[in-house]
Amino acid sequence: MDDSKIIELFFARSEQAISELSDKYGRICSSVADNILNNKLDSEECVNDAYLAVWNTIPPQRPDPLLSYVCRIVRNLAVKKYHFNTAQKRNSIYDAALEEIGDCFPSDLSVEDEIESGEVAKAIDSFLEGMDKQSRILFVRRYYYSDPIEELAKMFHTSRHNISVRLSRMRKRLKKHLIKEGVLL
Amino acid sequence: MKKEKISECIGQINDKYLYEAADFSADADLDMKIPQNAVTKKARATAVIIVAAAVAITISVAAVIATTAHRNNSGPPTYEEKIASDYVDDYIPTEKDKVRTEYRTELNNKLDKLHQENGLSYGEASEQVLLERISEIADILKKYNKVDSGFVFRGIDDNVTGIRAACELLNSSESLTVRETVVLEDYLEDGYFTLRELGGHDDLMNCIKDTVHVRYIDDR
Repeated sequence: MDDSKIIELFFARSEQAISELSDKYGRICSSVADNILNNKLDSEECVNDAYLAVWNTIPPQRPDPLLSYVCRIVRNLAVKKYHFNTAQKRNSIYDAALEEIGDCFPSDLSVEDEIESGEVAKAIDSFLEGMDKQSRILFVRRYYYSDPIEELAKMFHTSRHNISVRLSRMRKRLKKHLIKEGVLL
Repeated sequence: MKKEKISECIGQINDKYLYEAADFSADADLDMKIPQNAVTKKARATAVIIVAAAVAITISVAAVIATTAHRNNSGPPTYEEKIASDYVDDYIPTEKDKVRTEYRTELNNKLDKLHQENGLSYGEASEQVLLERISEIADILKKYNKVDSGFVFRGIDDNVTGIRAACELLNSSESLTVRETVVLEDYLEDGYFTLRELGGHDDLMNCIKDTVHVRYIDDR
């Protein structure tokens, strides 16, 4: 079903909207939550919470595209739950992705973190804008959706080594870009 | 920066990029596959045609015999035959294929070991493996006097001279072992991406094109 029709169902307050949303995007939502939480029950709960959040926000929202809207909610909820659940414990997939990219960012941000993080986000967007589509997708899949290296290798039909090398080069370029944009001094 | 803050920054990536990545399927978009062996569009098209023909005809004993006879008569399989052979049952891997598989497995095992036993991230492990590979490549090139003794490998990213030397060496491969050939080809595959990313070095591109590895620059 088209996104616009699903959104119309939400506007009509039809419960079919949830099942259509789940049929269409349930798999990727579960994958996003599970990559972060590494726990089937938690991720299922997280995805259900996300559906409820979508139900509560549409209307008045009319997101376009719907997919990234739902994924963003799932990710935010999963990250919150992750910090609540694990505190100092490590989660292999999510933490591994964050640790990898951690070196690209300043280690001692102390002033106006909120504003600064907005600047960093803008810089990341402009970095993505300058990349070719293939690299951009690889970057977002790894660092936003936290897909494991092995999954990415299958997804792009190549070896894990190849994916690791490409990601490593992208991180180097990101670091250079952040320095150029004045985010990293 | 704290992990929470990094996560927050990453979490603000523009909707259009999130959609692009979430909606992505390499199966649906052949051009988005990352080539393991830098397969050209032409090679891929040829492979598809060969596979389609093989399915239509139905695999028979006669076809197997004919294929075998053809292979015996014409020496090692061509690149297209090799790609096509991934889809048929009677393919017999060459020694080089076996060595390549071993080499890839060896690299992946090293990555896993460094990640699991030494606690390195895959990125850090990858860097370390890359350094080991560079040293192996340097040894091969030095063995065949393709680099000056004072040549320093600073890394694949800017190692234009190394790529040129590897091309020349592969072009006169009579003295190379299978393992050495595989290592150099793997190196050139990485070099291909690097050169494309650098977006320059036309003289080197021409050098590679004129020697052996046309496929490496085909979709530049």
